[in-house]
Amino acid sequence: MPDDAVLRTVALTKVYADFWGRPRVKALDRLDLDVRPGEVFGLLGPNGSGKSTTIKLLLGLIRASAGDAFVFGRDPGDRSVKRRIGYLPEETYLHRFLDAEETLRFYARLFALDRATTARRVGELIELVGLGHARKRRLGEYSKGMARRLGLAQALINDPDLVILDEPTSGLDPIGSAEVKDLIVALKRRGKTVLLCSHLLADVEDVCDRLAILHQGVLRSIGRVDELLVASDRHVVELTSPTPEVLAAVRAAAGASLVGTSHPRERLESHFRRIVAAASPPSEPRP
Amino acid sequence: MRWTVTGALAVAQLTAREALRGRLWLPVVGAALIMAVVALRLDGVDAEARRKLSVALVVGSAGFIAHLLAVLVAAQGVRRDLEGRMALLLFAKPLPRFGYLLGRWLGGMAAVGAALAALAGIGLGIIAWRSDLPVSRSAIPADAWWRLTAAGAAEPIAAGQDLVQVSGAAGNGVRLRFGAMPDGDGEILLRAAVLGTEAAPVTQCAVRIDALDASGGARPLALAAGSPYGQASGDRPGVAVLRDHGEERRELDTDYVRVRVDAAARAADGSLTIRVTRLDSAAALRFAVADGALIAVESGGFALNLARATLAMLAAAAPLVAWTLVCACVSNLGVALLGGLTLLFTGSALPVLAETLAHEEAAAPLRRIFSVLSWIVPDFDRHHLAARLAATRAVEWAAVGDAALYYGAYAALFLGLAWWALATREVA
Repeated sequence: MPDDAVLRTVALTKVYADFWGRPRVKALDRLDLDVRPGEVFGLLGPNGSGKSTTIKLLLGLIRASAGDAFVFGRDPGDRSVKRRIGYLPEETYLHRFLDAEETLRFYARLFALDRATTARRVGELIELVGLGHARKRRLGEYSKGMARRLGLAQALINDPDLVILDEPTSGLDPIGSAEVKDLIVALKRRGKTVLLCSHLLADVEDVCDRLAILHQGVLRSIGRVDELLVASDRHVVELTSPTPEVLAAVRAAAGASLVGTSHPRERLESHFRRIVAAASPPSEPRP
Repeated sequence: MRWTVTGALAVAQLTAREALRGRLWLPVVGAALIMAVVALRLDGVDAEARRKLSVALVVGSAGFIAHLLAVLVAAQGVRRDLEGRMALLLFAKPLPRFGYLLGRWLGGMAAVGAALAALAGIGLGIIAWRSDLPVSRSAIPADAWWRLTAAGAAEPIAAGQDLVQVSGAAGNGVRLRFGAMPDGDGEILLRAAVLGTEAAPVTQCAVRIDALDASGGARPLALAAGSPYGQASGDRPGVAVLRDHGEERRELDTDYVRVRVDAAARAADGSLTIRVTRLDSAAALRFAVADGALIAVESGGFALNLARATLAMLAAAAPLVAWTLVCACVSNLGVALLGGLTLLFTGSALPVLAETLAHEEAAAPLRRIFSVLSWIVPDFDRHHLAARLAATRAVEWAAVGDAALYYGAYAALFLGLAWWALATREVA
């Protein structure tokens, strides 16, 4: 694994225990993962696959049962690490009695940003997420989509080097979702590293460089999106203006009009379904 | 450290905002209205009683509401963050968990302080409206006591002895010394339990009160004008009558004989020695060393004393907020509220429990349990603030300092516990 990985997990395991310390659920099983600087990494998996557990371990919110996690080469609980992370949880957990500006100022204070930087970042981010018209409105009066936009703004308040986005488009309309995807691409262009969890496979396919698929706490698939989705056991033959005769000939063997061949690319959704189906136990036969 | 302080201040501001916008000021408004309505109904009593009741009402209500608020603010803030999963976001930031707790504690204290200030201000207006603002006085106890025989022999009272009793043939009594009298004329206050026998109960005893100079010469002291009892017996100079007012009553204006002391009675070093001689053989006298003889000096206006009492009440809220944080870190909102209120009511009932156990001569195991309890639970009536102010006794800075140290120690302990509970907790 590369030493310059922004995120690295080595045999990372998490077992949730009950009140008496007895093991209850193995949420994550020996996960090996690395996320490199400047890439957009997708973390996929059905509900209960261990995605959120992985994120919480990487944020130092829970403790690993075994294995190690490193963020910027350090322990995830290290404050110097947390200063460089922006995090958007899967639901927008913000204080409803604050307005947008107060919320962002509060989080800016947690990063010890000075007044001038805070004022500048708050103004920029409120405009970026399109909440200029509601900046003084209490969050209790926000729609789910507006709260989501503000959640995204708070994740960027410290201009983080690593942005962890858990279902960032949840609750957003199609325009909002497209804006978030644009934002992720813009972050990548600025050299930021993004860890993206999403159920919207098309979104992941559009913006991610690499992805990993978790199922039942186990890493089932990891690699570049291009590599994972290519069907290496099949070929596509692409021709320009083929005549019926040429097409007939191609059916027999490739001819002079052949401009190239490649493996066909499946959609991420079908890849995801195949991985999950292969990892799932077979269903009971019906009587 | 920097992150702890920065985070704590941000969270403290958040807590204060939460209390304000969560309408936790409504109990304060309710308490103010109740105080005003009750004060309006105090017409059937004389001016003195009305003043005392008004003061007790204001100070008692302010303390109770502020302490309830302390529990509410602390429980609600932490539980909302943990159950509403705001903690996920908060602890993903470079906010130390101790900084978070410290901020919650500071914010809770700020909310309680604001409530206390508002209630004290409104209460002061109510007292001024229903009666004159009383003058508060500090009471300085005697430094040393001696038991005197009729022959004039003096036996010093050992340190740690709470009571001095003199009985038998008339002519014996007590001698006591005040280390430093205030400048100018002043007053000595005396009270004693007057004891007879079942066969011959008595409630009063004539005594002669003299100031003693360095050579042992005695000069009779006269009663102060307005001394509520102990009128001079006939025309004998220095003679007063001590009347029994019950063990519990200790109001400076009504339960003490007030003896005038002029500057000439003081020794060169500023000290004053007086002698109290029993003149009735039928009655025994029992003085409490702590407050049987006091020097009373004016100690600022009532508003200043109320302000000091408010600070002491604020200090008493410190362990309440911290303990409620402990409960909120380990369990749900209901348990957090119950935990905070249990500490409040147990701590408020400690003096009554102690008295009951002493009176009932409880079994040793029960006494031991109470002894442990009194170590674990802070005494929320340690300074008797409402009773003191109602009895025109001052609340000195020393009491505020003592409150800060006593309650601060509990708060530090509970904050440490809360930190341990939160640090070992997974935020899932």
